[in-house]
Amino acid sequence: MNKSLNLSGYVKRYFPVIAFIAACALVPLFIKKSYIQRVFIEVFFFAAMGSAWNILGGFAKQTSWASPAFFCIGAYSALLMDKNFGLSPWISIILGIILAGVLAIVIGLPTLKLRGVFFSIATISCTSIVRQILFNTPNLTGGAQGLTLKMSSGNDLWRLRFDSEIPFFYISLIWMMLVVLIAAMLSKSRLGWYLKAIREDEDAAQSLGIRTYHMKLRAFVISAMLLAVTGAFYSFKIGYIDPNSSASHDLAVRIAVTAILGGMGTIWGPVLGAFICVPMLEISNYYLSDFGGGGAGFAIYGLAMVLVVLLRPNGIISLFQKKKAGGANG
Amino acid sequence: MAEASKVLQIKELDKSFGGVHAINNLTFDVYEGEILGLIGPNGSGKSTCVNLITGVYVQDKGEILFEGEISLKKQPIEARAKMGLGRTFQTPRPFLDMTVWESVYTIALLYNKTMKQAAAQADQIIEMIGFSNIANTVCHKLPIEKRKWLDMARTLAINPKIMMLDECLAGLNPTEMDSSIDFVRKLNSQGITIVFIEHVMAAVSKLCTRVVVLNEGSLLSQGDPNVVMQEEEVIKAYLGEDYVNAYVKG
Repeated sequence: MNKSLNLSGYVKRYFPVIAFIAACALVPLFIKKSYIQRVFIEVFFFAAMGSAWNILGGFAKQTSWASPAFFCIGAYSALLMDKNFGLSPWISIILGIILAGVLAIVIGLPTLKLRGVFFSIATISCTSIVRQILFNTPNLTGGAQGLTLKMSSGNDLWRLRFDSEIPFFYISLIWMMLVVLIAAMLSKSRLGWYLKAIREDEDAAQSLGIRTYHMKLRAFVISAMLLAVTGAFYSFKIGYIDPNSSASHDLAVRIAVTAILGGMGTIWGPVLGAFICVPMLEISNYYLSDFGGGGAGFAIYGLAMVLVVLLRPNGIISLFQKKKAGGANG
Repeated sequence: MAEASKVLQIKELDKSFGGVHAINNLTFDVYEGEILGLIGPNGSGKSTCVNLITGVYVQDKGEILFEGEISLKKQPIEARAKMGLGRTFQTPRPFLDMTVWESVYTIALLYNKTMKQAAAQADQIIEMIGFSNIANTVCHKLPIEKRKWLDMARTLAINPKIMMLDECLAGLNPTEMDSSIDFVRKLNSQGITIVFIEHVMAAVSKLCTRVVVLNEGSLLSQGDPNVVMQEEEVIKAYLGEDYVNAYVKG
């Protein structure tokens, strides 16, 4: 079962990944339209968030709807530090990571004792609580108005302000690949195996010595930290943050659906999901914007979700996977 | 047998679920190296007893001592597994989406310093149990007998001192039963104490060195299986009053 691969074996094995990254990296050379570039950035960010969600939601099948809470922690701490102290987001991201980790522990300690659907319900209220806090602290967080990033002209990597979409294109691409790499390494790690055992049968896993509660908590914290970082980048990309768009159940659903549609518990499923979900929403909103008061995009989104759940419960990525014969494939 | 040390002492154990008194002042010992049959009619508290020993439930009263001194009451389920208390379930609980090898490997990871050692232990267990040819089969494709064995294989990865087998023969055909009995013997010969919960009496008398009979949550009898199963009380509990004469005299 231990495969030792030589260099050419590695190249062969990871060729699709290398080709995919190369293709993505070359996109700005060929597509100059900044709108399309923005869609790609959105795809990369959602792929990152879907992958982060997948660590607990896919590997261990513990469906969390608290992702927006962590996303907001990262976004708000980065924007607030920038606004009040002129601190670079590269530094305040660390603060966001710590705060998200602490919040994940605070949320996770009581809720991860709950099983299955009860954990899900508890996480829904977490997003609601963060939303209410944001709405009701206008002096600090700007309340319903949110926060807007003061733009300046010129390119400033340290303060994450750029004149074109291209720097953020590469930042989001690199971040997505980093999250995917973390998820891939995790799935091969001890924690990854324990999470999969929890997914398959939590009672059996526990009876064999897996500390299921601790493992779920660890996964939740890692997932929360990755979401917080994404939140910080994302808010600097779009230049503002407000509770209606970020601390919303809508975002929670979009993040989870990215992973579920693509393929829960797989490494590339969330990425595939993002490449389908984000453009689908953009296209349908563009062509159907006059139809049904602009909600047609979400109707198509919902329809796609139903079809996938009915026809491909393991996600669209299962179309491309060979039947699992054995070995240690994530 | 009297010389052997007590690996598990169950003392005045009590457990109620609402109005149901599932375990009632139960006391018995498990000796190191034996194959103890835990028998009794349906609802007599056998599985509850295992669930109390493994920590799924916590007793209302009484004490469970492991290796003479460690009180299990405050230990969580996973800590008890780490001490070497292994169990299987009445209905097998495979990790359906993993392969046979992966299932064992996952548990072996808990008890080995390096992943390489865990892989080696998994290989060894798979070979010992005779699963080498199906090591890469996904568990949801396994038939019931193989699932039961896989549960045992996974439990072996925890390096168990005691293995509690909850009806590991139920639903098997006679050939499968024989091979399973041989397998349990093999485990026992490696020094693992077995607590064998079973309804198939032929297997119990063939395999067990001692039995403990439960009825309505209390200890009814214990001792040599062939002697105990002739006792009037035991027959009464299992088959009802009318059968006592037929069995004892006939």
